[in-house]
Amino acid sequence: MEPGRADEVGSSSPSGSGVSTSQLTEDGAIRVDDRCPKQVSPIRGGGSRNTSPLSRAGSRNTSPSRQKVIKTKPRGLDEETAATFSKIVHPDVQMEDNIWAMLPEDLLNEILARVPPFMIFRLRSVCRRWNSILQDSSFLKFHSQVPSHGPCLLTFWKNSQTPQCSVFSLPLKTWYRIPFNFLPPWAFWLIGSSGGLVCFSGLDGLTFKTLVCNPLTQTWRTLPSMHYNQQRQLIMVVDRTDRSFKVIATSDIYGDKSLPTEVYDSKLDIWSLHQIMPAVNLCSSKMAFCDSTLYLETLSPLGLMLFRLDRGLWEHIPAKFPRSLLDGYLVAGTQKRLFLVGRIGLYSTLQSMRIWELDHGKNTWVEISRMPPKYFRALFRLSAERFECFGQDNLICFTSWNQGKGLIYDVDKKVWSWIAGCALQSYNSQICFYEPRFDASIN
Amino acid sequence: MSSSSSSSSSPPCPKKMITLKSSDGETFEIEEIAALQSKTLENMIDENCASTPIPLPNVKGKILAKVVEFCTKHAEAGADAETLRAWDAEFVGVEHAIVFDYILAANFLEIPTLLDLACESVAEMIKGKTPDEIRKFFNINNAFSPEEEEDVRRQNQWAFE
Repeated sequence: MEPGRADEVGSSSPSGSGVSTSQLTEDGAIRVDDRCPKQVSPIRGGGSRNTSPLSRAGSRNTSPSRQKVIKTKPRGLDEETAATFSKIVHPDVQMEDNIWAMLPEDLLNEILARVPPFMIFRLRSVCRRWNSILQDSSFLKFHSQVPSHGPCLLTFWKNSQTPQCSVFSLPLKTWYRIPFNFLPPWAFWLIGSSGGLVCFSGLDGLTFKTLVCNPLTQTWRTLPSMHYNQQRQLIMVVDRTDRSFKVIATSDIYGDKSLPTEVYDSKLDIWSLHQIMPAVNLCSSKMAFCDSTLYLETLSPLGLMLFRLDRGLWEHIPAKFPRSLLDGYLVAGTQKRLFLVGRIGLYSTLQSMRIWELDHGKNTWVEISRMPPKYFRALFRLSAERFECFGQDNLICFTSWNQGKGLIYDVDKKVWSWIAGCALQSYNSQICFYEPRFDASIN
Repeated sequence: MSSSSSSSSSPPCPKKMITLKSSDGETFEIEEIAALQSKTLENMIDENCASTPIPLPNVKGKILAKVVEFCTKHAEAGADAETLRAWDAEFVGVEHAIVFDYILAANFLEIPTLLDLACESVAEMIKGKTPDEIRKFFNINNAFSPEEEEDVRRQNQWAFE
């Protein structure tokens, strides 16, 4: 397996504990140049998080009749603020400026904890005290209790030396180029992200290494070496309540299959050895993790290979795949939900992209949604179009680099929508969901 | 059949009213079930201190009236989430001084939903402001020297783009 493949897909899907996975796409690479007009539709932050009425995207009541009668002159709103939250105008009266100065520090931290993490960096240039806000334990405590900012996409692209990393915030519809200069030169593959941590791997000379970082706090560390120095298929699993994470290393579809599965536990800071994956024919190296279980697709025997993290053992379940399935992306949802995503149909005119969910009781895949034809046509101009599919928190994202756009399916709301404001910036980027958190610890 | 729960805190009586007294002497009635949104009041009810008007020296009448309104609204059964969100948005769409008072009251009375709502609305206000505007807003003295400020600004430049 050469280190040169830059088209791995990272995906992260936290359930109770968080998850991220590295996957390989196997679609062809035919480029198409024409572009479809972008549809702008607001995305609601995923799942049950972010229930603020003033959330930046999603359904809002913007009817003018709802505005209060304002007696004082409203402050002009710049484009950004007008676009990002509802049309309620907050009057700024000179004499009121002093009231906020009287706010107790704790309550100020409660407010700042609700500012989107990316914007906290702007606040650092206000004054010395705010500059050190990220070290303020009261702020961090509140920040850890506040609902998540909302889904973000992290893209990573390495061109010989310099890493290009950008984060797109879906709620803010903005790209942020968080500095990633701290990354050592060997970091090459984006394994995935979960609970605010991002995992990379790469070859440092002949040594296969893994690192974990928190881009917001610019902290990072290389994990100790595994028992066997081999390039492995990795997945990172974060447990936020426990403030710990694990990394599972299995053999990929091309690699040496006789190696034991290794698991890194951040609490012990060691890798432990577990059962060797039984000899099966893997469909692909695509993996998903939910409910303390790692899932891989197998061709023969047909079904799913499971690695139970708590027991360190593998087992196989004969969950039959839908007929004529062209690609099978496994995506973990919340709790125990597992999704399968892929196209059905060999002929491009009759193809459709579908999503199934595993019925754990019966070990069968139940279709839960189909991509509406208009989106399918817009994303996949040719039958062998390269696309990537990954998910987190019951959001499934489709990106087509050739079209420069992203599509999201919200499993809970059963809604398909384009990712507004997100012009995907380069080909061959690795991508995954990312949750910005100051309190995600690399230790 | 045994009688219903005999634990120390009895289930809230639907129509039982609690009386609250503001700092400026006004009294307000609130349903017990709505009052339970406030951990402070919940504790007082549990300890059976709620038979006489509860004095709240930190909250003035004008604000207490609104807090009662908020808690009552949020205690309503079967409220549609969307409608409630819209109602909430309107609730905080008021002058800064009042939002400020909401924050203090919600903190004192330990009403997480109101604290959340009010803090979020201020966070939204801050979001769009430049550092200079924020200094004016919070009446903060800029303690940076021009070099320091330039330094900090440069380090965090990516967040401004």
